Amino acid sequence: MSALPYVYAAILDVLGYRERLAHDRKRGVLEFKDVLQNSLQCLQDINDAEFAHQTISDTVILTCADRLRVVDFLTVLRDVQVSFLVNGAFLRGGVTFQQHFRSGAITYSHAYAGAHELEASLAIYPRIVVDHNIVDMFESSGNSDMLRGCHLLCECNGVFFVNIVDEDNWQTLYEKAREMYRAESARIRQVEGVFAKHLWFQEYLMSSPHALPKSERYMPGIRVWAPEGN
Amino acid sequence: MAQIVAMYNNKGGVSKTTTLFNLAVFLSRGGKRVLVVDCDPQCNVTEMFFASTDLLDDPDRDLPGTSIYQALHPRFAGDTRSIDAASIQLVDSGIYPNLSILRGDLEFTMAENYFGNAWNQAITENINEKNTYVVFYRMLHTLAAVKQFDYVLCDVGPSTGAITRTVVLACDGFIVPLTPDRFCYQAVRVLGSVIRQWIERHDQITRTFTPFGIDSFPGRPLMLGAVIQNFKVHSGRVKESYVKWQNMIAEKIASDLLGPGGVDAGPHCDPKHPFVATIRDVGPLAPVAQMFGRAIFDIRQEDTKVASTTGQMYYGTVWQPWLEKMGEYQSEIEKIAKVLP
Repeated sequence: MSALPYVYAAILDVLGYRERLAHDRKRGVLEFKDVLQNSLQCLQDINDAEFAHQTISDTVILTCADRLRVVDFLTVLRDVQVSFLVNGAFLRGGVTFQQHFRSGAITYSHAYAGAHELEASLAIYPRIVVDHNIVDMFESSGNSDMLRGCHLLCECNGVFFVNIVDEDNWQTLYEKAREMYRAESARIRQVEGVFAKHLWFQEYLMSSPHALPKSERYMPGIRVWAPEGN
Repeated sequence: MAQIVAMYNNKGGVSKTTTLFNLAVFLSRGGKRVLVVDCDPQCNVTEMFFASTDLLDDPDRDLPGTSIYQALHPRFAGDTRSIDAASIQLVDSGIYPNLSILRGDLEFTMAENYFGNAWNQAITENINEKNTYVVFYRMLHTLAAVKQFDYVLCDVGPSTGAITRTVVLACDGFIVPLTPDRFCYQAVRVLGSVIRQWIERHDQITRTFTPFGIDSFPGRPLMLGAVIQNFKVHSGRVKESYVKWQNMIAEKIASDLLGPGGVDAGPHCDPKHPFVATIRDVGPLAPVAQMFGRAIFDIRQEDTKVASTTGQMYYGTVWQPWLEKMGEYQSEIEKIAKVLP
């Protein structure tokens, strides 16, 4: 078996797509279409020679064929996730580095399959999970400083994901996430899975070294069930 | 650069360990720096190495130095990409200068699983398994470079398992010890295709390393020659039954082991005449040598006390045949040394 080219592939899914589509259909509006369009504006300026992208329904697919452009690729992913968030949508995704073949209408891709598997099984929350093998690859080739130095990765419980927060955008992201929660808190609190996603994102923001000290958690926390007044 | 060589046959009881130990002593006495690596979880060459000391008297006492399993364990645990040579304490021979060992370990049998997983998974994008796949090769070369060895001789068990595959593929070449019998004839029939399959699988795995920027290794060990041994001599002549098997085995080596679909021959290995040394049965010399941790060609006269029923050492006409056998044995070991890369 001859080896195919290897690429980085990211598969990003917009969370709550079906609900928001149903919402638009019921009301006869195109609000979510505008969210998608505005969010994807960030891909207008990327270099197509280096990063290929396509969007199908609620799925954004990005690839990068140059192994050493990992930092640039993570930057693109960060920008996409930030753009969706600013426009009021959470993303969840997976990134792998595997074999990939595309010619005309034919796509044969271990990278897509791997990225989809990560997205479906490990991402869970609004985050873009990066295959640990990508991290191991740079650790193994003595280039770990490249990945560590860019501050574009977070790690939690052995899972690596794209870090979208920095000093400049923390407040914006915090306010946007809070706004998203408050706008639909009644619905969100009825669906435990959706509530958990918002809660995770809040904790991610609050654990950031760039979190502003006076900012408060906007979601209800865990409390001990005890007699009232105590 | 050090030459890494294994003594290998998937058939057991063909004196792999004995021949390897004697070759190591011969090379070291010739001024070469030699490292013996005990890759067989049965640890026989480790026993042989430490037999010259009293360290084996207490089975509960740990042997000195780092074992092969301890050396590789950080990689098996996923903690490190490759093994730091400074973390490995080799043991120098007490009686043979220039000879050291990376000792064996009964627990090394666990490596069968680790290397087996790597063998299956290193072809995928799993970097951890890719690193495990190459760790043995990297470790040997790092050790050899840092400690400036001329030869690294690997003793492997009689199997086709993952440990054996890993060791043989990491070597520059291998020597096949054989006995002139039906069982070795059968073993030789499949050995070439077995090793060829390993090499082909290695090529497939290695192709997946390049895109990840990870170095692999050649994985193309040469067959340096075969050694036929343990045959009996009657009235100065090799018994005809042995000669027949020896000739049949030679034909099989040429047609199967070194033939199309087999492995490549080393520069001093003539496929039509693959036996680079012929070692006859050395009788009681082997157990006496093992008792004192010495090479067979280096048994001292005083050592023969353990061979005699009276407890007195051999001398005169009894000792003389021993000297002749030792000389003959050493000259055959020397022939093996000459075919090393």
